Amino acid sequence: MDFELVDSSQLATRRWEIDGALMVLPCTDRALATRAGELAAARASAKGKVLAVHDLSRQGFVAIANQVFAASRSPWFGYMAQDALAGRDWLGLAMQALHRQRGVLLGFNDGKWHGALASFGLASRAWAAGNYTPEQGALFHAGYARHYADAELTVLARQAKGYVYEPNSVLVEVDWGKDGASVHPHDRVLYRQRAQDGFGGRVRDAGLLEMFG
Amino acid sequence: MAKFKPKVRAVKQPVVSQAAAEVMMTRTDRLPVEALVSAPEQAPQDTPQQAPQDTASSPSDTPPVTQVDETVAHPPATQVDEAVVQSPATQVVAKVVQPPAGSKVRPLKRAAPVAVPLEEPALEEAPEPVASIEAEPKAETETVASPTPVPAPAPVKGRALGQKNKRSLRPMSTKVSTPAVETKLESNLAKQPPRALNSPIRIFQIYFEPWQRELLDPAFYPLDNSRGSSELMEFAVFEQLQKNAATEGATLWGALSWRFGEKTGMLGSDWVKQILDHPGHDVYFCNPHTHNEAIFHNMWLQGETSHPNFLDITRAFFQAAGLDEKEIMSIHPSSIYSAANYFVATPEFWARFIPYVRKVLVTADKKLPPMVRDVLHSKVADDKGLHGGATYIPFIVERLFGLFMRTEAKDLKGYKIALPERERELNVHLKLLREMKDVAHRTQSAWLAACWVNYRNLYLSQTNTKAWCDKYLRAITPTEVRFV
Repeated sequence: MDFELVDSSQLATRRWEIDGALMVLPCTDRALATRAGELAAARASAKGKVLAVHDLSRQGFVAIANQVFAASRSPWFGYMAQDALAGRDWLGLAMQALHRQRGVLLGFNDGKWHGALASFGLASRAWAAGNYTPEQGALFHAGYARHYADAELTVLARQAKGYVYEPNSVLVEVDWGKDGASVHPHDRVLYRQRAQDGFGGRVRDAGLLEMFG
Repeated sequence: MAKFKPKVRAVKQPVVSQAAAEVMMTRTDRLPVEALVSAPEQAPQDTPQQAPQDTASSPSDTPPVTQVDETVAHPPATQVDEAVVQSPATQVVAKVVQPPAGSKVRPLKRAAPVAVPLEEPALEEAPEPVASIEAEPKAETETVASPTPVPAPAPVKGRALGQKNKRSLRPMSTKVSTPAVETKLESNLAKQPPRALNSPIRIFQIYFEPWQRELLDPAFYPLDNSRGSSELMEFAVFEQLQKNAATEGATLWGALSWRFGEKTGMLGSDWVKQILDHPGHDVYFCNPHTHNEAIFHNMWLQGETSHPNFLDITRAFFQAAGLDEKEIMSIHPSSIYSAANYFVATPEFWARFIPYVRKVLVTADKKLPPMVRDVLHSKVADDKGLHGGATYIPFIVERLFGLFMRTEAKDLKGYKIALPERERELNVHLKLLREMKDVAHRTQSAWLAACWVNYRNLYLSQTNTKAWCDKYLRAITPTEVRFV
């Protein structure tokens, strides 16, 4: 697996074709992103690329991830952050689990949500590309700023019976002070609104609709 | 804007009752009529965020309010026929196939590595090595020829990927000194092919990356194709195997992909059992994408929905290769659908199929206009990058099997292996559609075929977006009814 760091300004002009998994790593701190990305690439045990994108104009995690999704081709597309610490064989184990279970979205062991939520995740592009119209978003629903986009993606995958959690596939979020951070209020409102109509009619299971509400 | 009105021209029967025609026209008149947009989809423009965002953090701190009980049955989108009989084979498969998402993760059952050194010499000593074939431990190789599924021991936990790790969680074995080997015996063994490769049925399983090894089936021989770079993909492996000592003396052989278990829902031993239970055929094959049998006239038309301008390229290819173009627009019965090149076949089959494909490819390449030929060999075919940047060639080659069997190989006998797990996934509409199409084909009824088209288009309209229907529905609906 390779690692590459680019500026967000390059997303408009470049394209990436990856035979394997493409992991987007939106970042604001180049040094942190490089350390996290290089370690992840070294420990992946599978083909692919970690693409760190320095968010120069502070567009946000969701917007950067969506832009990279649109500017790339790869069978698998994942997302992580600069505060991620990759465990050994994290990607190879994730790929094994996805293929064994015919999954469409895998939640890594982030040391936080115990698999309930793919805060760092890896999705089948074929599946993810069909979730939203181009106006709504690419990988994530573009209405979210920084929270709940992954929650919605998780719920969509669970409804499709394609959500996979592999505890041995470790991508831990090293968030020294974030447990006390508040949730973006606009994102919470949007999530609840979207949950009310089953995320565009795609989710029918009541338990899933209430899962993160 | 032209109205889209499929003509119903019976090839062997006069057309259709007035009522049926009316039903059909009522529906098809509503179909999109615009010319298809052939360019790849535009990349979506992302909405700029309203305010600077915290990119550095992970995307969610959302606390889960309710834990979903994964054991709760989720209602299916459409009613599935519950009356499907669970055959013994189905039950065996059901034990192995993974549980629904969210439930406990279990690796596929496979034999645990045997701690003794291999007795057989490596295949590298064969005259023409194909990539790298490995002689598997006894427990695994015996499974190939055995009709009885071999119970697999539990997998070793903590096995490292890629053999990079210095520390392994594998249990340490006691150190035992290796006994001396007689020189003559060693020499004899070195001259013989691995014992496992003396099995009459030899099925290889192609893989490309170390992590894929864990997913391989113990009934097959692992075949490392990580250095393979041919545009022909699996077909190139078939060609190499045919010339290799590894297939010498086999009554049946084939090379399946590392995704065999995932795609078919079957164990390799069950696959072999199917072959042994149905002897006397020249080729054993299957179709892991069973839903295509219900909703497409044939796999050529299906290709249009997966690869940009597939039909145009295919037509040009057929013309250049001198193949009958009617094949592309005809209704094919489900019994001849195949995909993924999952063939296990006699040497005679391979001796005819491989040259046939080669001849077709060479002829087409010679006669195609250079611009079309360039597209044929371009990665445009894999516009989403889902197939490792494949060109059109492997997608055409995998669809030639049916045509070959109906034309050049009429005298060969094929046996389609049913895939119970994939059958179980078909909803009631898909089952009805497939049966309806097959009956239409069997009875050569243009009227019933028209009814099928009508029902099929309604189904596709309900299960796909308007954009999808606008883009594909007209292209995959021939205006004539024709049967192969």
